[in-house]
Amino acid sequence: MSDEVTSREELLKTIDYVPAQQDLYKPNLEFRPGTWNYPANPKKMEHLELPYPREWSPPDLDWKLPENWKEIILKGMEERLNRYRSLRVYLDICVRCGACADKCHFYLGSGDPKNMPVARTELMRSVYRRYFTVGGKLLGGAAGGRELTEDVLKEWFYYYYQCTECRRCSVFCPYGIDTCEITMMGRELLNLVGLNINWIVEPLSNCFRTGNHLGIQPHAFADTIEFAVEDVEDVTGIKVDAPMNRKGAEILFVVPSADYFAEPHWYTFLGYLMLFHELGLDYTLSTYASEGGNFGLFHSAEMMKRLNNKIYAEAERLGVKWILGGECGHMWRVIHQYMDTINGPADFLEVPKSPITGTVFENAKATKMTHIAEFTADLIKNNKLKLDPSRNDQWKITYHDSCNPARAMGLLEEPRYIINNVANNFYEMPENTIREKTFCCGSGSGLGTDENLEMRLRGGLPRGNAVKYVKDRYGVNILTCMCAIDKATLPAVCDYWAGDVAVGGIHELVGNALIMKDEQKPRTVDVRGDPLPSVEGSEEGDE
Amino acid sequence: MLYVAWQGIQRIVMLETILAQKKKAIVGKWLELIADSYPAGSEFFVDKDQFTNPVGYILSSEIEILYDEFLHDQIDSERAIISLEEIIRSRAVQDRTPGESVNFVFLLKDVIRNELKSQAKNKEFAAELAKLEGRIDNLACQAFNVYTGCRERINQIRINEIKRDRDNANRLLERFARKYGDQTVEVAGGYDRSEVTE
Repeated sequence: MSDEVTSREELLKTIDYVPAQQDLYKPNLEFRPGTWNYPANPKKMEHLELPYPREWSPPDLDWKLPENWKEIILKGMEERLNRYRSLRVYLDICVRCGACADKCHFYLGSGDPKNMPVARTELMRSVYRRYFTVGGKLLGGAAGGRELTEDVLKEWFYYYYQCTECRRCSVFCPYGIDTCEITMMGRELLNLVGLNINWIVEPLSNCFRTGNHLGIQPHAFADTIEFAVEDVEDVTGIKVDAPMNRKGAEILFVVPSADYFAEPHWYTFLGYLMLFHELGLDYTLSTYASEGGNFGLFHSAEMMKRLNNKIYAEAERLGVKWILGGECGHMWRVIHQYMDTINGPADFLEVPKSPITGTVFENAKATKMTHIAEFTADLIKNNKLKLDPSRNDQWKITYHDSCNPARAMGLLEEPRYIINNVANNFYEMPENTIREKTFCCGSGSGLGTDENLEMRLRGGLPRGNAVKYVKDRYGVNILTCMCAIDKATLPAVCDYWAGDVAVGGIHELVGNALIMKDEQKPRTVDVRGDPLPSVEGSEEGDE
Repeated sequence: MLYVAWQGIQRIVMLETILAQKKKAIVGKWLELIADSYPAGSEFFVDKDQFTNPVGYILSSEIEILYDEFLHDQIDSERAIISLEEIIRSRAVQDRTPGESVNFVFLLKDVIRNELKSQAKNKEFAAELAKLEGRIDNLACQAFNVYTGCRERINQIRINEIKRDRDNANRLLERFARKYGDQTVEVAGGYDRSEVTE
């Protein structure tokens, strides 16, 4: 089709090989409403003892920076260059081949060249050259160096809070440069002079006070779990047990807090409870480790360590053998890539072993924490579950590989295996938009706020576009995923780019399909409380 | 009188025929001008894969359809509106003013005038060309309607998100109220234990 419009050769002739019209070294300082997040509430910063809490706003001329802000940033850079060899390597070795350039969803959605991962890194790399390389110190701009000015700092804020740390670009980098880590460093440095966003700092503060990002206190947590138990009873007629803070349980089960608070996460939570009841699993929830997510990852290594530690401290206190984790995204990046070195070894725990199938999850040897998709896929593989896929016939399903489970831990097959066993109608999105090449929801890493909606929609374009394709082609009506942020923010992306497509979780589908021994009556509704398409067929078990 | 009208129709048909023959060049140049309005320029349009560069793919394919609808005087057609929606949906969330979001339609005028330089010198043709350009003006009006629709959608989505957050909280509050009686509970920032006692 495209050839009919303009041939590649013809188009190439039209290309001006002079670098893009926008001067990449000139800071972009336009803060349009809808494209940035509100700064952190100073009170929440004080809770966490973060430096320089104050009232300020990005469109303001004066960001009320501390007087010696430049010294603080440069000292912070030096410390990090010495601490993380990867940072120095990433800043040194890029040859600007451009492989990453068109891989970022924000670039594809905005056409803004500074959203090319290579250019976003260049925002920091130019400062690194100027102050930390001989060439840059001597030759300045001629060696690609750039003075660190307030405008440069403002631009860092704009673009480092415009990267969702999804790591799609790093899949394509021939040198393996992880641009996400540049963003992480950029945010750490900004934090040093009190430039943070509230959607990250407030959840962190909440987590410290109450155990979870949403600020739900232990008694309210207990109540919401009780409500979930009631909802399971409404659907199945079975009153399941949901143990809490139980010492001596075999497994500690940790979920993102949205699972027991928000929709559509709630339905996935019901699915977990139904599954564990059916298995007779010896597990416990915890009011202290009531958050699987870790917004510390989006803030600083220190904060990530502090939050992650809670889960393991609780596992030790309760005396469990191992930890099972729910459908969360970045939680798994922290567990899989950082936990062992920041808080490990978790040698007071045992290597996870399914009490139902006997399978030992060797891949979790270091962290002692297994993803529920691995756990459930293993149950299905060993014929331990009775399933009726027709109870999901109301859905034509596609699956969005949530960035972190897919790219940070390689969890690609298990969710698909589960969906194919619990449902009849599964349709993949195009190959270059799924698995390790999956496109981000555009709202990860703490950017999922309503004030940032336009930017999120830009970032969500490639994902929404692929959803629209399967919707138009196969009539897909639900996008499933394994991340709490996805579940919260993909409804907006689907609404704008694809139209009417629901969002749900994998264990919501498991809950629907699961045939439970104690069920006295045929099920008439799904876990959302909507009537099942074929009530007659729902009793006929089909493994 | 009739003869003059007949001649006018003939000239329009002739112009349309010429424009149809020059379609490839005109659409190509139109795309080029539109590409210039993107900060990354024409490099942004090298990849026209439907999934790895949706904006490039959509613009490249949809302006061709729009051009056909324009030629056939069908700028009000359902297909033309779909094309405008496809193109404008992304422009409505990018760093553009409302005018910048829809001005790509007017660029077609420049391209056509440039392609019909020799014919435009002829006074009679010039009058008919102005009529054809009226179609482009109408297309721009449609584009503005579509743009407004996109912005309204964004606002509705924002409202829906806030409503959903409120509904999540209310759903639990109602259940708390059922469990503990009608007591006030504070949602934001956690529940105050002193207010939620059995």
